[in-house]
Formats: sequence, structure tokens, C-alpha cells
Amino acid sequence: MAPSLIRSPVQLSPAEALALSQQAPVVLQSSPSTVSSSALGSLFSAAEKPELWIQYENLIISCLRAGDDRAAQECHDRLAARFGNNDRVKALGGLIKEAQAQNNGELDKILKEYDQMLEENNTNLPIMKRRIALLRSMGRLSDAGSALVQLLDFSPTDSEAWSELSDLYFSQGLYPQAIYAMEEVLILVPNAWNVHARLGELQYMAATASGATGGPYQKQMAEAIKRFSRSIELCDDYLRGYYGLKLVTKRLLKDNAKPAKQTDDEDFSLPDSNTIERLNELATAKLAEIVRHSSAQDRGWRGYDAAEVAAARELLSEDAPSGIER
Amino acid sequence: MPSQQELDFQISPLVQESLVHNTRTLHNLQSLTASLFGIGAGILGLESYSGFLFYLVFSLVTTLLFYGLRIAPAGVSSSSSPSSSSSSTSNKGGAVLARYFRSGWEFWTAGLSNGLAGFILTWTLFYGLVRA
Amino acid sequence: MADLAARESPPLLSWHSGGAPNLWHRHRKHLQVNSKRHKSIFLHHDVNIQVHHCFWQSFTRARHSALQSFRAATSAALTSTPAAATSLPIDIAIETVVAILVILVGLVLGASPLRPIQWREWAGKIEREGEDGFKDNNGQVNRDYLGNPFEFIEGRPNFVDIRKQRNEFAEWVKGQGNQQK
Repeated sequence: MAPSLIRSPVQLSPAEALALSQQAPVVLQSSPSTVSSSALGSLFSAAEKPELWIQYENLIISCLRAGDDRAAQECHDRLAARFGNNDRVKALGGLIKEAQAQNNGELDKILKEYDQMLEENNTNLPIMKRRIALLRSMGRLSDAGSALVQLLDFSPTDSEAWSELSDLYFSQGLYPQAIYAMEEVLILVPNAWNVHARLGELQYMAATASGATGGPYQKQMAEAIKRFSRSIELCDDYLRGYYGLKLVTKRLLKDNAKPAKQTDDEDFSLPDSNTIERLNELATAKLAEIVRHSSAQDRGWRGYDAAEVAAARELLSEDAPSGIER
Repeated sequence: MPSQQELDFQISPLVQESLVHNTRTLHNLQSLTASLFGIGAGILGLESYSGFLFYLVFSLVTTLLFYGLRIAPAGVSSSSSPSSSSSSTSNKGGAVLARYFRSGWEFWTAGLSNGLAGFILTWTLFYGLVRA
Repeated sequence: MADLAARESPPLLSWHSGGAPNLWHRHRKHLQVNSKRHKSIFLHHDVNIQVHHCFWQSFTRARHSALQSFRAATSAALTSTPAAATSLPIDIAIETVVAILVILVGLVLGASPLRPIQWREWAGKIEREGEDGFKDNNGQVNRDYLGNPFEFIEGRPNFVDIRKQRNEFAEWVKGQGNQQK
């Protein structure tokens, strides 16, 4: 079954995007091509549903992905007919142009158009975001970074932009900055369990990237444990959280390193090996349970992503021989 | 310095949307059934205290049924699944209710005031229809 | 006046005890046979029958009290009516209460499922059950269900790199094509 059209399609797999884009003709046919915004008109035509516009937006993205430019243009036209020259609609129009651009010259032209729009109104958030995405797509990372920082300067509560900044730094290997930006997201949405898990992953990668096992390594591993634990605390049976926890504790147990003598910074010292051992056991048990239920397609366990379950199974099977050795 | 209760909410927050959804579900049921009880009381020709007693008894029955048919089974099914057995072994009696409603007192008594107006409306209407 | 009442009452009585209940019972039997096919339809029919039943009862009751008052009128020659109301036949009372209870069960079973209010339970339900956990009684996914509400922070739909995604999709299609060959 194709995923819901209400949800954002960015993170879907190609197969799911294809299934969504194939729904486009049905959606376009079943809903009226123009919806009157006047009070009198709405008495006679079909009721206007806010979901419809979200569906159109999401359809544009999945249709562009699947190469169905005509359907995407149709969705955009309908949005434009309803909302006129709205900033968001303009950004979607730019998205369609970006997708159809053949060479760098055309991309430059689109970039100039964005710049022009921003000159008229330099607080146009959707266009600013498109411009940053386009800069990044063209490989001009530092330009994208500075534009993003500028955006965050006047709109510091935009969690999506902070997350983009974190991802941008991460792609350049600047872990401390990426972690800082993600922590900003966490200040804005303290209960987002996936952000906690993401931060844990960043900490883990930062710790293991250098290869050293000194003070910063242990501090970052301790942070990672904390972040993963919090994500599990906020969400029962969170596959990603348990996966991360298992990864971190496994590595720490393999290191078998004694906690460094860190008395100055109590918040970030590693827990003792006994606790790590128990965390590892807990994560292993939970992962095994999730994998078992999910592969049996038990009722109430079908929400997990198949790829994530497969990764967890692999992690567990890696673990099995080493468990016998011990 | 935040109080202990505030800290608890920080550590394990509540989902406002779910809370609103649950309260609305219960509220809808209670207003609907209250009108129904009004019809019943009118047909039976109840007057004054006996009518209110009828309402009181049947609203409590409604809440009991709701608890027995909708809340208790959910608690049983979740604690029987091994996943939450560790976290919800303490889910007995009132703790099951706490999964869906903030306070038990609110759950058991809110129905009385929710449907009273609807009850009196249909009660008088049907009493009048039947008697006149 | 009394004469009129006396003349009116026999046909009324015969209609009450004769045709209508048979028709009613046949109607009910027919519905019950139908309703065995589907559980959900059973519920609906059940409620329908019972609501029907309720109105039926109120008419029975109205007719009953009318009859009573006519009798009272014929015997006591136009005395006041409320005295008749005190003697309501027990079967009507029982039927009313039973009907209410059956409708009540139907309504309670038809209420939309509750959602956990504890953050970790609710979040766990989203992760573990996905759309399955947020369906109403008709098997439709609830309209206000959006999955993980914080998904957009990592997905960042406004920053989507559409050209990269397009290329990835084209690669994937190519890979599918090769697999099929």
C-alpha cells in the first residue's frame, strides 16, 4: 500500500515515491480543478479541505522525483489558482524549474530569479530556503552555510533550518558545529525523540571519527549514551534508539577501557562498566524482540521500516559469535 | 527551582492532542446517551427525584460500560504483550485509566454534568408527548 | 363525548393487538437474519432496531395511556387523567430499560478508540504500529494522524535537493530494469 499523501514524502524510498506519484492522476481527477475561495461559491462547489493543499504540495515533490513533470505542473497550477502568488507557491514553482534544469547555466538563472525575489522582500522564508537548497545542490557549500546563518539570524526559532545547518556541517565533517546546531533544535522541540536519537548518532560518529580514545572520545560516548537513553525514555520500543544504544555500549565494552580519571566534569563522565553491560543487555533483548515480532508481522508491530529492522538483525547476528566466545 | 510535579512532567510529558481526543470521545458519548436516557425517563413517566435518580444510575452505567468495554481490554492486551510487560506491570485498576485520562475523578463524574441539559430537554419533551 | 370514546376504542384495541405486532415481529426477524452477515452492520441495524423500538414504545405507551384515559373517562365520566399514569404495564417498562441498555452497549462499542496520553506510550505506538494503531472503527486511518510529528525536522521538505533525488530515482529505476533482465 502506498503511504499517506498527507505526510511529507522526502524521506520515502524510491519505490514508495513511485507509488505516490502514480496516485497523482486519481487525486487530480477526483478533486475539482478550481476551488472557489468566495463564500457564495463554496456553497455550491465541493467543500475546501486543507488536506487537499498539503496533498498537492507532497504530490509535486513525489511527481518531480518520479519524473512526472506534467502532473507536478498541474498541481502547482491549481495551488496558484487558489492562492495566487503566495511565497510558498512561488517556492514550489522554483522547485519545478530546478528539477527541469538541464545544465548549470539554467540553474544560475534560477538562482538569479531567487535573488531578485529576495531583493523585493528579504524575509521571504520559503524562497530563502529554496535558494540555500539550490546553492547546496550546486556544491557551493560555504555560500549555503552563510545564507543559512543569515536566515537563522532573523528567524532563530526555525527548527527545520537549524537541522539543515546541522546536516550541512555534518556533510563537511564539522562534528562539533553539527552537534551544536542539533542541540539548538532540541531546545526548540525538547520532546522530539528522533532528534535525540539523531544527536546521539552525531555524538557517536564524532567520537569514532578521530580514532583516538582519549578524554573527548569518552565524553562524546557518554553523551551519546545519554541521548539514546533519552530517546528511548520518550518513546517505547524505539528501534533507532535501541540500535544506537547497542552500538555505543558494544564499542565501549570492546574497548574495555577504564573510565578516564575525569573528576572535573562530572556530567560527562562514562558510567561504570557494570552499567554499560546492563544497558547493552537491555538493548540486545529489546532489539531481538522487535526483530522477532516485526519479521513475524505480528499485529501491532507493523510500523517499523523494513530496512531498519534488517539493520538491527545484522547487528544482532554480528553479536552472536562474540557472545559465544565470551 | 521547579517543583517535583513539574519535573515529572518534564521527564515524562503528556500528549495534549490525545488528551483532548479522549475527553472529546467520552463527552460525545455522554451527551448522546443522556438524550437517550431522557427519552426513557419520559416514556416511563418518571417525575422529579426518580427521574434524576434514573439519570444518575444510567450515567454511571454508561461510564462503567465504557470502562469495561473500551479501557480495561486495552490495558489487558498491552500488559499481556511482552514489550511493555516490564514497564506496565503496575498497570492494575486505576493505573489503566491513567493511560487515557488524567484523573479518575474527572472520568467518573464529568458525565453527570456533561449530559444533564440534554437529558432534561428530551425528558420533558417525551414526558409531554406521551402524557398530553 | 363519552359515547364517542366508547365507539372509538374497540377498533383501536383490535388494531393494537392484531395486525401491527405481527408486522413488527416479521420486520424484526427479517432484520435479524440480515444482520448476521456482518458484525458492523449488525451493530448499526441493532441500534436502528432499538431506536425504532424506542419510538414504538413511546407510541405504545401513548396509546396505552390514551386507552386508560378513555376507560377512565367512560367509567368515571370525564375525571382527571393523571391517575391513569401510575399504572404502567411492567412489560413496557422492562422493554424500555432493555432497549436503552442495548443501545448503550452499541454506542459504547461504536465510540472511537482512545489514544494513550503518556508521551512515551503514544510515541511508541506511532513507531511500533504505524498507521495500524490509528484507525477508527471503519478501518480508515484517522485524518489527523500524521505519523511522527517531528519527522519534518530530519526530512526538511523545504530544503529538498530535488535534482539529487531525481537522479537517485533514475538510478533506482535503472537498477530495477537490470534486475528484471
